Amino acid sequence: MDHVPNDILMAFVDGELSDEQRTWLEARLARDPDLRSRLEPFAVTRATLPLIFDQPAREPVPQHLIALIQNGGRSATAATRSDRVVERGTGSVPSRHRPLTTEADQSGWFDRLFGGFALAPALGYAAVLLVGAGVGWIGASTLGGGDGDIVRYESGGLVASRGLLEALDQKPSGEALSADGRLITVTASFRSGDGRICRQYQVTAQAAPSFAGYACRNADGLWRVAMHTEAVSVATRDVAYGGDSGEARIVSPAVDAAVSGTMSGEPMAVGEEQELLRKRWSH
Amino acid sequence: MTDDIKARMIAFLPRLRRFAFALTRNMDVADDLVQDTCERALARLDQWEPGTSLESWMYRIAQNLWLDRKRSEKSRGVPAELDEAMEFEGTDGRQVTDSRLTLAAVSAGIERLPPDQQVLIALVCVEGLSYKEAAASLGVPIGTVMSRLSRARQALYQFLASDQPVAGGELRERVHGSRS
Repeated sequence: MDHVPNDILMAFVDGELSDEQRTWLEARLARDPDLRSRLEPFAVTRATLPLIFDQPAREPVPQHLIALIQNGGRSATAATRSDRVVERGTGSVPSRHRPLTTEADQSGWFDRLFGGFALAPALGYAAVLLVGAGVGWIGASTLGGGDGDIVRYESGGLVASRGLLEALDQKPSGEALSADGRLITVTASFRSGDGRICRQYQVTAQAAPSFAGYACRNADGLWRVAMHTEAVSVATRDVAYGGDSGEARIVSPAVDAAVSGTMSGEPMAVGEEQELLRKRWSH
Repeated sequence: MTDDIKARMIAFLPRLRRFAFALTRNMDVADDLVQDTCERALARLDQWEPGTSLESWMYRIAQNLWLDRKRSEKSRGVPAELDEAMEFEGTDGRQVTDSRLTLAAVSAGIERLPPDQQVLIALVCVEGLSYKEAAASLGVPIGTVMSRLSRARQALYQFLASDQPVAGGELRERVHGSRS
């Protein structure tokens, strides 16, 4: 088989491939575990660096910087570099999925993507831990013993189980469905570039690996799983105090990256999702 | 200057600070960089072409100020980060786990990269710019962005997966370190 260059694997994780390239690579990844493992450096850096450097997102912008701009570049206030005035209530950093203009509602998408990821805001410098990091990919070869009853590989495509279909069809984002000893939770709904409705989900179980993925609804009204991978458990802890009190969250960098690349515009607002659920996704 | 542009700049401050923090790994130094960036942007506002991205233009100012600073540190003989990134061996299948993914460890890993690769990490991985935007910001072709960024991320990952010790007390110092 042709060698897939690292640049292409990185572009896949970053959502920079064309639909055609992505489809091609997804098929290769589904049957090549070595290729999947080569995604990891890109997936880990993509998913964790925004969280590692998010301190500015968790504290207000220093007032002297705002005053500087308001005064057109002249430092008119007494605040100097060594004497900073910090005031509450200036915005926080929107995630990359959200343009600057919509700060009012900015917590929703980031929270959904990272499952309400909380980085010990009051204590300061939380570290992100990837526990048992490994971006698995569920293809034909690995479905048997693992998560085969949620998604199975069939005639070149990933097919959702009845439980997953039910969650995709009927559950609002954030509400878990219990099926086959697992919890299936849709984490966000969005529209793809080609106008389909898609939903990102996660699957968790006691003492078993977690999975994440997303599915899109085809013109024929059937949900088709676009991606389903083993997810990473992310815990938070406050490094400055050496504690380890955070609880695990489910994160899948590869799915997040693929969703970013697929999504057109913004994830759906709660109201829009409710309306589509009510109308059984006919739009 | 219109209030509209001021408002956009202020709305951009959280992201500009995060970008500066990713470059400097020290919040105080980052805010100095943000201040210098805003002063320069406001003084040279006539150089910004309305209709183009104000944010991209400000990222570029910040990045150039920081790169200039790195170059002058180097010429003054301040020990520069060597191009050590390429020296790391393979990861032997080791994975990045728990304590390696701290601010201190990631900072130590990024510092080993050449400055232009550090900028790319901050622009793409932290700020989420597209390759095209990052290429425009650095004034290099997209292919160059991809090859440099891919090398940088592999080197960073290998550093994080390696057993290189990172001093435990380093974190507070980095975040709250006094500026000299």
